[in-house]
Amino acid sequence: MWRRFSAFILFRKGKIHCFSAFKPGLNLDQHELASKLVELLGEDKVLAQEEDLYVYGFDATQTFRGKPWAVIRPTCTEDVVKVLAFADQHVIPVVPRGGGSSLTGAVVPIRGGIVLDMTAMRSIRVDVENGVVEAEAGATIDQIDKECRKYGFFFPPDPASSEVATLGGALAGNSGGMRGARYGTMRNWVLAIEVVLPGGKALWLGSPTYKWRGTYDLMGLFVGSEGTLGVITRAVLKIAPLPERIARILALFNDVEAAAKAIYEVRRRGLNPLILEFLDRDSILMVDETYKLGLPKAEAAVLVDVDGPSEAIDRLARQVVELMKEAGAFKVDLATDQEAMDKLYTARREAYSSVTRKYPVVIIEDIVVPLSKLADAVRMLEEVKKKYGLTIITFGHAGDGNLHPNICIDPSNKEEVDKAEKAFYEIAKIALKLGGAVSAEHGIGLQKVELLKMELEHRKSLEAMEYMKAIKRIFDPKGIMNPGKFGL
Amino acid sequence: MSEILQAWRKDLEFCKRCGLCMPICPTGIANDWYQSKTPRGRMLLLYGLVNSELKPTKTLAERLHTCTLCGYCAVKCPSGLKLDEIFIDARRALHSMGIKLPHLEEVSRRIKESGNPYDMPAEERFMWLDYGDEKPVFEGKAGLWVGCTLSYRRPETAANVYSLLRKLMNVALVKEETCCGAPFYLAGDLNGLEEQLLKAIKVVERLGYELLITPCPSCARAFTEYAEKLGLDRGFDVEYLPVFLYKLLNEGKVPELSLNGLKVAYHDPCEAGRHMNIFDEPRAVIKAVKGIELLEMNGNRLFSNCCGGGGLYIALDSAKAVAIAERRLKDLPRDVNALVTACPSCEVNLSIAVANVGIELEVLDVAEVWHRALSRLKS
Repeated sequence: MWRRFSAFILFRKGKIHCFSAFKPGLNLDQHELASKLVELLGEDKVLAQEEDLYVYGFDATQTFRGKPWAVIRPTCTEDVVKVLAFADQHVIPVVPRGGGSSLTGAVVPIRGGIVLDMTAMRSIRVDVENGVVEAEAGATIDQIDKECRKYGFFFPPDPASSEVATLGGALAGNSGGMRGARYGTMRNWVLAIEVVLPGGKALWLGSPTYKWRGTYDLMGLFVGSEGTLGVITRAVLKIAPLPERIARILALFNDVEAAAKAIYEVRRRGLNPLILEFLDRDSILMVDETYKLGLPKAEAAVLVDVDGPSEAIDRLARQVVELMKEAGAFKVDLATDQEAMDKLYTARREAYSSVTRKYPVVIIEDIVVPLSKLADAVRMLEEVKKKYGLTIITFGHAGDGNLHPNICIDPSNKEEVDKAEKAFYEIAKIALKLGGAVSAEHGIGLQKVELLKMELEHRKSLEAMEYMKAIKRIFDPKGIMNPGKFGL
Repeated sequence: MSEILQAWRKDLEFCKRCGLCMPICPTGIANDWYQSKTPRGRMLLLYGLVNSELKPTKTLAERLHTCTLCGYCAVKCPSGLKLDEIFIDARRALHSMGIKLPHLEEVSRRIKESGNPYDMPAEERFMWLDYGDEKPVFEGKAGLWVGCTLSYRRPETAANVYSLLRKLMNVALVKEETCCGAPFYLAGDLNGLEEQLLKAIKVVERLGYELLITPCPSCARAFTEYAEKLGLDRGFDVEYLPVFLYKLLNEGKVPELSLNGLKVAYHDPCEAGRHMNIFDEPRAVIKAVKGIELLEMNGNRLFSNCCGGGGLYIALDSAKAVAIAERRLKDLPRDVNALVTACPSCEVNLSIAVANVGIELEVLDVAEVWHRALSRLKS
């Protein structure tokens, strides 16, 4: 049975709404639950005060709300084992949570239960000899990357929220980032994970080696599972050597087709960029207005990072510059020193903050289209914008076809909310029509449950949900893990 | 619900809850991102409060005081929200609702009874004179307002600051110096602030000073910014010491100073840096001494990491406050002999951290760098 958890459910009700805390199978009241958990784990790890429970009811969506009955802050896998054994026995929902930067409601405890705040588990150990890093689920992606850099390596996936996003959350969300065009998502960098299953069984899935042929890809099931199967407590990840030199190019175009052509050419010529980013006209205008960058009016901007050895970097950078000009860029800036590169990066880095500074609510979409359809997607987004008279700012990771249209709304304007909801679905349909998908890296959570259904129907593969349900029943027969997400 | 908080309603709703304020929040880090002890958590608590989903409880107030008011979150916020202003107003709102926290009550009692937050006898305020050779002078046009923290917690620094100023000008001590009232501001008690600040202003006026110089940025803010907020008149000018020294330097009133072999790093106090926008003057004062090498810390100026000594957090949880200072020491560049700063609270907390960590490092006030150079010049 599909539940309707659209991004707009709260606004349509006219106020932020807190989902009621119904308690399936729970034979303890909230106070008794806290006492039992304290008995199990000690006082320091259990939060049960009203104020603490309240703040764990949110994520970064501004739209979804819940409230846990208790919060546990484990410090080791054994703590998680105890909690999952207890929760399974009493059929209490468990919502694993990292930095809480989810943009889809994925960590919102809409059915109450126990929130497992993993952020106190954050040890990191880099093993240069074996080219891996092992970290606990609560370490942030940024912390892991910084630790690797001490040894001349780095961790490639770089979600925009990497300072907040934790390893557990990024794995459960299969997060990507700007470097996705070259390095893919978390899935491409994880070798093994330690998980705790409902009932309290801890096990390792995958192997901490660069090659392995063992079981079915059970680890793969947990990557992107949004905490609906079990709790990821630790992982072994591959790392990559730091690029020797980087050059950054920012090109401005007067027409989107030309920008799309430039993006296509970068890839066709095998330049293998480190990042390949896109900003639409309104993004450029807004970031320039907010940060006074002195950018001229343009229909599109393309930001490219190429890397290579010192003796080759200038040649590679020149190739990109020439290519941009050939494609029709009217302004191309090249930077090779850090300060100048940072300056060029501001336009892309601050695109999101220039939106969040101006609009009270920003609904961020996460569509992905085949690279050849990028210009079509931007054009069709423009039509949606005009049709509804909405402010929709689009930027994204053009290198892998992932666009983030940001629908900016004033929640007190009911008409605007209604229009935004329609636009939300229409944008998803654009992605599907062009052969793409509704989510590239943010996941489904609560926000895109209906969009996922649309996508599966579009692919004539709705049965995929039945397989997901069957798989969930194997790992989580009582359905306690992060209920409601994916519509499960 | 308090009007003070209602005025921030839109900002509380505007927060995108992205959490980017958490990785740089000193108390958030010290508490392992315990949510209600992070800036995002505090914003959500206030959101709950203005929407009547939460009650103004002691727990909520304590969470709001689990904050050094360093203001880094406001610098970092991608939505441009002034979190530090919201948090200080929230303290005010909760105080006005009658929510009392034991550590604040204690600070308040101490100031009211002893004229300082350390419960030290008022008559011992000038005991720091024993740490130097200067004779006390209590009459003049320019007064040195040492502040409670230097007077009672850093006597050697107090003596050095006084000695330096005596060498540069005719400065006198303020005989009836007392607390400026800044701790009341941090506690959200504006009545307490007004009463104490007025007392301090009257003392300075009665003794006839035209200029008040203070090495404490909190005192400087109290006499200027807070007095203005409260509409209190004051018949004298106020100068924060590093800025005053910088002016003397520019006016050519300082002899050539040199100190060889001292490699220092400067820690930007939150009160002086983010809150008063004073970044360049202390650096210029240090650099004026020939032979000193000034290195930058990892995280400086607007992006300086807090030392944990602000916002009265140390009175709530001293162990965590010192842990924050210990973490700040990790930002030091290599091989520095001294960590220089320009705030007595930073000096105290960082000194404790240095002792705890067990490293060879002096913690100095900016003025002490000049004092040392001048002393060497004389000898």
